[in-house]
Amino acid sequence: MAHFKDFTVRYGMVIDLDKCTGCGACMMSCQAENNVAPQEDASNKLRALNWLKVYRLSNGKEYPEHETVFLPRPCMQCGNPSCVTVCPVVATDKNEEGGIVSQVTPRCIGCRYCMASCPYHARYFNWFDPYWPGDLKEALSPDVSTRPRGVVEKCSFCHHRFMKAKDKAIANGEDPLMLPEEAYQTACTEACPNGAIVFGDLNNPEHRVYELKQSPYAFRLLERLGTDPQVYYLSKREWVRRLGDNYLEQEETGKPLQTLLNNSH
Amino acid sequence: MQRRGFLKFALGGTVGLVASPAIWTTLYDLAYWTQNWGWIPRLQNGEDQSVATVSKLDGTPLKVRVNGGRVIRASGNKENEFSKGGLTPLAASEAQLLYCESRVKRPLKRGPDGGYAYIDWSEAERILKEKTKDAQGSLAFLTADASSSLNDVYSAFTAENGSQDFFFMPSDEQAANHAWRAMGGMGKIGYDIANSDCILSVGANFLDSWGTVAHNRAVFDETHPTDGSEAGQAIYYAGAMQNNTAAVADAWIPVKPGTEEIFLLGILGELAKNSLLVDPAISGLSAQYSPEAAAKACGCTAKQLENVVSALKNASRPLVFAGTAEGQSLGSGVHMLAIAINYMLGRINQDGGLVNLPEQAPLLPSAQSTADILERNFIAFCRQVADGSLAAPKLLFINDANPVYALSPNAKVQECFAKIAYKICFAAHWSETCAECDLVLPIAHGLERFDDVFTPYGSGSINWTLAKPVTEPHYQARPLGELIIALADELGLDLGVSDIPSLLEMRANALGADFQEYLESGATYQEANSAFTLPVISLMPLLTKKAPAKAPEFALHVYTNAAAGNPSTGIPPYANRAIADYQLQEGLCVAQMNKATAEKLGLADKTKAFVETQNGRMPVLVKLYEGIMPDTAAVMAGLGHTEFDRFSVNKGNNILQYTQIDMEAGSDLPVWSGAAKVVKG
Ligand code: SF4
Ligand code: SF4
Repeated sequence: MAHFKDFTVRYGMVIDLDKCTGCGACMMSCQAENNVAPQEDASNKLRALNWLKVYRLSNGKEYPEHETVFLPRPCMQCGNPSCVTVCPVVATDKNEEGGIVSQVTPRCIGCRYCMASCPYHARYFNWFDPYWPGDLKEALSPDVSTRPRGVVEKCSFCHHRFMKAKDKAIANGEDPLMLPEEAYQTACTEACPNGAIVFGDLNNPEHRVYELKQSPYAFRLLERLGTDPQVYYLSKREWVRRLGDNYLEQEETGKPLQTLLNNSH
Repeated sequence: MQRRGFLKFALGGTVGLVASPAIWTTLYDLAYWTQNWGWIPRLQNGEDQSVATVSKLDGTPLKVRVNGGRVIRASGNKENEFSKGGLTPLAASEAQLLYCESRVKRPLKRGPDGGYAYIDWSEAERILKEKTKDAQGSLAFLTADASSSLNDVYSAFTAENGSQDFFFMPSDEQAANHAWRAMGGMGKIGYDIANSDCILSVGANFLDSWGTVAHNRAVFDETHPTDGSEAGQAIYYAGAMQNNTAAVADAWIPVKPGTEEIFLLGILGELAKNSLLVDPAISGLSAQYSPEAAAKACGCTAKQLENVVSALKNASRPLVFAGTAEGQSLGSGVHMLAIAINYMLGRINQDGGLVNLPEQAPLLPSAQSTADILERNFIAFCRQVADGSLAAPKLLFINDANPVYALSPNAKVQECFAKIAYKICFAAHWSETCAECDLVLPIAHGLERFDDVFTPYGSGSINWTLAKPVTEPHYQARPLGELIIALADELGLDLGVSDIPSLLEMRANALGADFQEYLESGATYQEANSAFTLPVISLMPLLTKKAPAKAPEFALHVYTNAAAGNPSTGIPPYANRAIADYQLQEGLCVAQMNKATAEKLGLADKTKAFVETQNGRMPVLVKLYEGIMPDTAAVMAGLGHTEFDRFSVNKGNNILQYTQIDMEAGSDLPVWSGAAKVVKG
């Protein structure tokens, strides 16, 4: 399938759901790294803002057949991002080597079309003025601007880290488009004590994600929509993979979209 | 138009415009949409530094980013071999906890009207000295942190003041230590998780909140390769709910709260079948429950129990241990049975088994050993003081512990406090316990002080990580260790140490580690376990063990969310998003239960109900979750704070205040009881 745009470098993740214990360390690190304003009450999940959110999934069976799995959901940095095409002011774009979908909050007019179009609920609206009470703003990172109320924000794969890594490579006379895997890692990847998140350039055979994404246990969320997500998941459990898309009862998982389309003709 | 008419029109128009909200709304909107406002924090940038230390909250080795003197972020320390760079959700909050509003900023003294007033440190020091002097021989000291070498200073200070009443908050460690020592263990009980190839955990959420979490999870990562190749460690989790550990375990075995002992007896019985090991204790015990009877009582199937036993038997390095969510000790019985099972499997003092961690001599002459302190029981103390069977101490020191919030009313903390003439709380954060004390003194947060994490409970070897200040103490906080040493000096007591860095250097010397090297690198010192011949584990204490009580008809399973802080921190600012809608919703704690249970109780999903225990009724919202046993409801602890800051308060109720504690026959250790009801709201 044609991409929105082709890139030499395409950063992505492979998240091993059989290793995630749902602890939320990735969520906590993400907020601190990206200056996401803390929320006094985040129990109304329609108003809570999460660049990365960990969901608890169920195999849908009743006790004692029931199984649980946790699924961390960042922005999928889709190859064909529906959010980009709907934005009336080009506040979000996929136009830079690395294949990360940008979110330019100063340009965002808060119309939330992108939220409606994102099939992954990866975008969030700032319902409230950002507020770091007391001295909490002392802990703000100098790397990521704070955002006002009224704009949409989302995971950026810690884009500032990518910029820093590229700057460093250039200063060292290295190719910024051939970064070694450890030169650029997202905050959530670094945090995960279980090593459930693997991050790297999906196009670079030197990076672990290159192989991992081809695992027979790999799948992407709703991939048959054609969004071409750059986040892959792994699970040895068939029911988990099946939850990744709307499969028909007798349909097998793990079939690429093209095969399905061919078979249907 | 005439001049006058024009002026009238202009004036009227101006007044009209100013009075109408339109212009203000437009201006506001304009400011809004152009994002031209001053109240969004502008970022500051300074010189970057990365300082290695360790989280005093859960022992996670850290690299802390400091920018222009401001502490920005705690990350894992990739160079640390113990944690391999992993970060727990609680340790991820360190920087925010350093700056949050709940910090105790200045010394506070309670007035006769019950209100608090700021006092300066010189006044605080005067009171501290005077009260300690008056309380000679009648001082009690409670601390929440059992893994710090600074306990040597605190326990020596208590002893030098003529008292032995130095306590840790109740914990699994206390119960396990009691069991270990009763059965012949000599030092500290150790769990060599890193070298085991098959783990059965009964209730211990060891991949989330139990033991050396960051290390356990690094082991899990290593033994479970992402490339899909075979795992190097099998994990069996037995408990009431499919929790974080169960989600990644090879099998979840449902075991109803309160039946953990029966489950272990069933395992023991199954192991004893065809076993060559003849021991009267084992045969006596295993006769109590056949695997079938045990499975029935616990709520699992005999097949599940047998499968675990065969996995343990077939593994080359199996390990069995038990535990609970924070502070919900099950008494020593479960630990004795777990030890007996390891014994049956030949796993005592073996690689990947239960290991005896040699007792470390206290660093200071009058300090008490950790094992001795663990034998002392704060709940029994509170109950005795409350009922008058023990004379109340004149003075109580509390170091960063929050018993008022964390302990069930059956512990009688409040009644005990009422009898103690003066209570001083040394706290980094304003807690429910601070609000019950006469003097509250601001102490340095973990990132502001020298401290260490020394062989925390759950370790599989002697290990040690140094904490060093990454910043000067904020506000008027002072490091407690230094404060106590200065106070001892003032009182003419010789603790045998001049400051905390010297104490930590003593620890390094005792271990044969290079203090400076560990100080700079933030590495964890780890001692290889030697091939012990001791201890000889005796199963004799099991002979006198009482038969376990029957399972409650309906059980409450209290669990924790590791991100949501602990009783001493409150809920860290960013953690609210990590509290799921199956834990807190519409301002109510959520009681999760399965569909069959709810139907039996006449409850439906998302309806209001009450959890009812002997200690009262707590409103909850029912949520259906099939990963939980029948006739059981799971409620998260850590909510319902009334103190700390805006991020902690107004969130449901504190389930810990509805739990009950019984005292275990024989050991007098607290056993949290799961008996409860859920009734329609
Ligand atoms: S930090 Fe790792 S284990 Fe924890 S929720 Fe995130 S991905 Fe899962
Ligand atoms: S996940 Fe959503 S927000 Fe992210 S790129 Fe895809 S459509 Fe856009």
